Amino acid sequence: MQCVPLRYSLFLCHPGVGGSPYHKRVDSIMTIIYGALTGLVNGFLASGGGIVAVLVLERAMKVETKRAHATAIAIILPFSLASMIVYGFSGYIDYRLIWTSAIGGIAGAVAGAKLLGRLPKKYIKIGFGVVMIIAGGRMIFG
Amino acid sequence: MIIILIGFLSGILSGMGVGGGMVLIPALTMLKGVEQHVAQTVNLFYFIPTAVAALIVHIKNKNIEYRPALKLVASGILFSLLGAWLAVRLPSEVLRRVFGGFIIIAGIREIVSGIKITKTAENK
Repeated sequence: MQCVPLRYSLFLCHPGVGGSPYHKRVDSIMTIIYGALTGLVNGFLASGGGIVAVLVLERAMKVETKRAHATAIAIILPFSLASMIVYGFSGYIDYRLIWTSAIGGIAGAVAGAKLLGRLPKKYIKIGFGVVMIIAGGRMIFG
Repeated sequence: MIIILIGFLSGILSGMGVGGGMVLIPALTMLKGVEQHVAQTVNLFYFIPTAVAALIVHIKNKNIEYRPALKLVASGILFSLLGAWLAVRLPSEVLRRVFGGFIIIAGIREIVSGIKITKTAENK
């Protein structure tokens, strides 16, 4: 039984030839599900939507990594703008905090982009991952 | 001021392609006692200028896949409102815990992804 990976699915494998109406319908459904999931995560956590987006783009839509990261930004931006409306109406905006973080953030982003080629990404990622796990643990239990 | 520093660190990480918001929010809540919803809102706002700047570059370099992007955005835009609405209704502690769980998973993925990097493939 030949297994044709569905273009927009991560795990599904459809026996037979691709391009059939069934195939296309599942593709459309999966795309909608992935879009919904990405939006949901981004709206709910205000963060991490990019991770889901990159995953979907790379794995399901077979986009090359660098382009996936770039495209993910284009996807998360409207989602974030939409979520901002809800959070804003609920009175959670702290302008001073935003300004102060943003000032640091812009400087940091410039520094980070410059450092990009210089520092070993491998160890940054591993270190970052460890910090995140610890932070996550504290958020849950602390 | 600590907040500038926190912003700076998050900025560096996102400038290097490692998630920034997932540092900003825990840092604000744990180091500065900012409430979870407020911290998340900060991140949303904070993301906008950097995203726009990055997008301008990406659009110029034609790095964006428009059709997949359009499809996903169209599918997800209402759900992002839904997600935000859900978050707003939940108490701080619950949202915090879910967020914590999420960054643990993300952290594991980063470690795995970091381990997979070999010297030759360094410049991703």
